[in-house]
Amino acid sequence: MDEVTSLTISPWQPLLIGNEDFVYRQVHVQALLKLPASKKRRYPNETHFVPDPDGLSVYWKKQIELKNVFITIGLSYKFNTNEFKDHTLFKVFEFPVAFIKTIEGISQVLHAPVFNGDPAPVGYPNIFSHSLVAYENDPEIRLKLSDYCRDNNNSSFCDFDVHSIDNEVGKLRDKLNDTPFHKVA
Amino acid sequence: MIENYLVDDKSRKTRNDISWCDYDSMRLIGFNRDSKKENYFFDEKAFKKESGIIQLPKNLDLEVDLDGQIFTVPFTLKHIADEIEASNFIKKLEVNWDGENAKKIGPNIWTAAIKFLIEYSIYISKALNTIIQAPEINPCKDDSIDLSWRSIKSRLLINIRLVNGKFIAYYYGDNYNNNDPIKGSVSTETISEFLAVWMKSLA
Repeated sequence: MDEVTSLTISPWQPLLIGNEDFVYRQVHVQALLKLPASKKRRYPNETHFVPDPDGLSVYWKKQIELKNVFITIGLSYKFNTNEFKDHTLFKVFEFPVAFIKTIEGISQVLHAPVFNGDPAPVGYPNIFSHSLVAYENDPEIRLKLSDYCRDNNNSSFCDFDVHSIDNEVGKLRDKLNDTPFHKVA
Repeated sequence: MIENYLVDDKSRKTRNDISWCDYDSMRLIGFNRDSKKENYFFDEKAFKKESGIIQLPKNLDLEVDLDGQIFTVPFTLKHIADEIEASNFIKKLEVNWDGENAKKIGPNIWTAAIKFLIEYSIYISKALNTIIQAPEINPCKDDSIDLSWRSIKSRLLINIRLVNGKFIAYYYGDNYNNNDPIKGSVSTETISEFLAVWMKSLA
């Protein structure tokens, strides 16, 4: 019986993201769920664009189907747990890279593929399209990213029936890490 | 006493002689005719309505308890007090509240942000005769808090965080389309006249 071996070195080289490209940003609704129902909130708001130390995680649209953005979310664990994220609690917004680069303080939009192994562990799928918008926590940047979604709702909001993939996500979870999202083709 | 803060919506002037306002003004400050249905403390029967003018009792100031520190908020800022009340959930968020490694929001951060909001709101009301809108009060995953406004004229984001042991308010605002932008940071310990004056556009 062949033994499954895990690669630790990424087989993927970052590619150049052009100004004509687009990226997807996923935002969650958990915080909103804790608010009184009477309190309406803009969605997304600026808190959805607080970057991690290495930048804001996005998906390079050219490299992933919208459906697979949600599947990837549904196959990922919540941080430091063995509990899958609920893909139905996320919404996705699309941004032109050309717009992002007009905001003062944003230095780069970088392709940063996530490779967790071949196969990747359960809960940590590989994400070739993963990219980073590099900036520090800055109120101007977060306000402008947030308002872009409001001002360009028709083109930015990715209207997707998240429940249409419930069964598919369930089946993929049942296959543990024997899925195309965990193995490098 | 609240009478100094009540605004005549038609003249846009504060009245010092009598505590009153009309229904439109009442709605502006967060009270409406359906208040009883929403279980507000406010009892409309307590008011005498004459030609669209209602008399207000003089002891409607609100008290906001910030972890034992009591702040008195004029009734005209009730909409802001309501938002503060709703933001209490922030203090109960645990580590990883967003499923993506969010930090727990420290109680001192919430208190600093709310204190900042109250002090600016009252200052702008008293000194600049302007009632600003209530902001959204939102937690950020990096243990900071956002105060976010969108008025007809302007937009403003203030992010309050702890830096080197001091609470700092980082802000950016403009009149949309990058017009007349302001950007900077101030200590939460004192009121910046410059920022307060600009915030008048949040009415």
